[in-house]
Amino acid sequence: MKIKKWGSGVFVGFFFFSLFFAFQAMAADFPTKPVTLICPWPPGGAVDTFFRVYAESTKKYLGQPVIIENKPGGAGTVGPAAMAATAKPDGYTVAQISVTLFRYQHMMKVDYDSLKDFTYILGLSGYTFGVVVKSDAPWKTFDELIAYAKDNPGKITYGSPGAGTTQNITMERISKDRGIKWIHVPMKGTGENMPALLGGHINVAADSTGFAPYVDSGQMRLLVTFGEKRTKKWPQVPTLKELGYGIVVESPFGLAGPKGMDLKVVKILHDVFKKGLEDPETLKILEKLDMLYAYKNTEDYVKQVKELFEEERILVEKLGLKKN
Amino acid sequence: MELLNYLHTGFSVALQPINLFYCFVGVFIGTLVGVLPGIGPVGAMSLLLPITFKSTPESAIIMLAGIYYGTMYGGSTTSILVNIPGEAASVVTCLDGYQMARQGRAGPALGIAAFGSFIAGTFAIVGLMLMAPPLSKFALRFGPPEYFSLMFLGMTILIYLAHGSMLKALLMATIGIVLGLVGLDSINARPRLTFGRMELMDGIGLAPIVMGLFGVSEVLLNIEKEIQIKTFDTKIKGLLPTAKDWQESKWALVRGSLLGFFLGILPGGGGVIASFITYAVEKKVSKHPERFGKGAIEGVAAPEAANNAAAGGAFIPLMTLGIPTNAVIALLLGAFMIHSVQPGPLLMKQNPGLFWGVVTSMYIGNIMLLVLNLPLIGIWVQVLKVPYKILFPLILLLCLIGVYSISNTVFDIYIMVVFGVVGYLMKKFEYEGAPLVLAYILGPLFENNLRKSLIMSQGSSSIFFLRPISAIFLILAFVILISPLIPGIGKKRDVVAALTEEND
Amino acid sequence: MRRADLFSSVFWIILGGLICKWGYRLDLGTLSEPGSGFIIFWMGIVMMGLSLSIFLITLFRKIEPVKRASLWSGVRWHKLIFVLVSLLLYTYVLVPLGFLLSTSLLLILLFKFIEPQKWSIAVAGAILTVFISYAIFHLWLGSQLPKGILEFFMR
Repeated sequence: MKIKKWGSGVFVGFFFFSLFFAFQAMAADFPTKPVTLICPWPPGGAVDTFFRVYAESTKKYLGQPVIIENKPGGAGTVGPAAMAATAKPDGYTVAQISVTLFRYQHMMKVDYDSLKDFTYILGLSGYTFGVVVKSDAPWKTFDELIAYAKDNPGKITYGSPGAGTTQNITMERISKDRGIKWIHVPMKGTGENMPALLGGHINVAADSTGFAPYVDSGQMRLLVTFGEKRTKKWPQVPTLKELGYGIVVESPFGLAGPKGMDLKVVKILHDVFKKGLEDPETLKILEKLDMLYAYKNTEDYVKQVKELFEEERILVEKLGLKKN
Repeated sequence: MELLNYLHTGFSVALQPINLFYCFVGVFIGTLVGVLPGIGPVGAMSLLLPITFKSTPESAIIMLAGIYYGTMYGGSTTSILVNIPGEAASVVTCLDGYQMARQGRAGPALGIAAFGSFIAGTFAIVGLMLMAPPLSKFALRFGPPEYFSLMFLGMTILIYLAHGSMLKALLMATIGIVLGLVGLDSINARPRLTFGRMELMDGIGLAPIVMGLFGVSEVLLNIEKEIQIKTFDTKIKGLLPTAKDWQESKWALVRGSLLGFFLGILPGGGGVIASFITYAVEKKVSKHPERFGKGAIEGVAAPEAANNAAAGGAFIPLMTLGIPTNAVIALLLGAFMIHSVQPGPLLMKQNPGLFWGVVTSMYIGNIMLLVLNLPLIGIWVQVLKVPYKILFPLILLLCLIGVYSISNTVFDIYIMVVFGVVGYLMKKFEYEGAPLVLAYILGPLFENNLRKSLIMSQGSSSIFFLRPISAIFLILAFVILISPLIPGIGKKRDVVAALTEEND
Repeated sequence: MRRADLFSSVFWIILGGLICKWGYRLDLGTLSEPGSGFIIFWMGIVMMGLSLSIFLITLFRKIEPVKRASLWSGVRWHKLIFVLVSLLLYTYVLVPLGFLLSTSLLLILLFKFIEPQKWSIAVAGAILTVFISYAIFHLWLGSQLPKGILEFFMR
């Protein structure tokens, strides 16, 4: 019996101690402990790699470590959704917000509202998308490819990293706008899309910069990129906008916390994460991964989120992706 | 001669003291992570990635690669000792490994797994060195139709996996396929069988299923009875495989290495399929197929060789094409990028020191692993002497942490507990778990590639027969399916008995 | 085994029927263009077929091949249910209480009540185990275990 009492005493002690520390923390300034950044993708991808470098650079300015927590699922929506539902809005938990968060809300029943459940902090970066063909393919330019597809409906098969991905949706937008019919073969990620093109199983691949090594080694030809401006790495390749398609797709992403964060904390986080983003190490990894530097301050980012939300709503309706 | 030059370049990098150190750290962490179920190489490598930012690219890749093939060594340990598969490729190892442990032969089982891993790992490195470029071209010829046919072939080997009733094994396979299809449909991003749960959007994870079906259910079965003082009735006999064990498993090691290496090159879980296929092959060619599932050492040697050879094979598409074949390799790709090295066709030319340095470091790493793992066997078998009343909470704890640390969600623990109960009932009602797991892995690939092929061919199924590689797989599958019907080929398996029930 | 097989096959027939229904609702597509529910639907059919055969074979097999003890003889139900309930409770409190606290409690329960041992052994064993697993998984391998109310101890 003695030991039983002793055991429960230990637990009460633990509890007391933790309460004590909790009050201590509240009194002190932000941040007094590590900030957790939820990366809604599995470890190892481009985004995860970026965040691990970014976290290292931000640490210097924050004075506390930034811990990357992987919560993959639902094309980047499960992580932020779980944060919105469970995390305290104390600034110690933030998550990456990608465009899929807005898209999925229009496509299916979800348990979050991207306009209401988050406190947006800042815009960070975006992707470089493009269309590639094998280097021995007959099409030298994107217009040639479109002309061929127009004359030969159903002859062109294109691969994307998956159904409902931005690459897939953009290709469908082009086919709708130009009245062409090409066949979509949904691959599982870039890792399946690239070999399928190299092996000649599909004619065309729409992807993010996973195609870089093949374009650089001359096995693939990059026909067009989807960004606002031409890329630094391939300045000779035109953009969809230049070619007159009126489409700019960069899938910008940023950071947000749960709703109801203190504005002072948001300001601190914004300033620190901005410095981290402008750190030479971060800029270097962005360039290596062919991701864009797309910083937006809190105000502009909130505006952009509203625009993206609306844009995705229109797209989902136009392409008939709405479920039930 | 050229090769000797390359080897010289490679060893001059790999033998630098700092790289030897990184290699050792890598294989050591790999062994640890491999032994612990759940937390896999992906988790460990991504956490150690920032540490490598400051080192040279050679050291970084050598260490990360060491973690990867190191985990393949340790993966079989918990399968053999406590029936928890550390990873998908070790599910098959449970079948005979755990039985060997129950008969007091945990030592030889662990021993043959370690030696088999070493032999197959070394074989794969030689293969990687000699045949990387041509093999990568061959892998590119695999499109959706070829994958479909390979998966179809994989499914037919279910016949050899079952050791009880064939009908029940097939029934389990159908359930495995359905379980595998839960989540977003990869063709049209439509949620299937998710019942409105966000957590099910990406499907049911493999870890909660196998740890529930194998690990938790085994604990439940053991505690329902009066717990004896010792776990296993028999004494521990020997720590290393005997001459007879070697005699029995030598060809299993060879076949496992070959199949594992070639299937490992293919993107998408080649190693797992290889471990199942080699097991089936061993059972098929064995003179005593009835020993399988009851502690046959070939049943441990073959899949362990296969998954290590596959780990080596998986480097080929990465190094020569820059294509990641699985999540671990994708992480390595990220590490290359951070160090401004672009793996792919130009790697061998632009960075011979890195390419050959990493390859030769794998020889050294493999030797380190063997030296590290053999003495550990003596410690592991002591685990079996721990009284079960102390051991079983620890087994449960390993399962809990393992499952949680993969996805960081408690939902997966609930799934594991549910599958623990399912697995318990399955054992009571004499259903087997292995066909379910195999079908769970192959099912989605089977369905996805079937539909992709038909999209490509616009609905014509001739695409499967007109492409040579695909046609060969289909013919093989057909031969396997009808072989029990032809006397002479189907040596042991009496179809009628197989279709009704074999109560032994 | 006879009764057990009859029971289990009936269960599978029902499950197969449900799976058929789910698959059918998901859009079957055609043979040349299978839809989302195609494979699921057919798996349901195959499942029903297989379990129906098991049912019929068992029903018409006159003699039990081998006599066996009842499935449930000697089952210590309370122990089984105790373990399952404590696992579920553990899962429920894991995030709010955190890994250290909830795991210690779970282990004490399991050590103490399945095969009773002294309190001192149970508590000490549990705390030691939690500490070791915390050191290996959290500190060394960096698993992201839930911190809960003891978060200031878990750095």
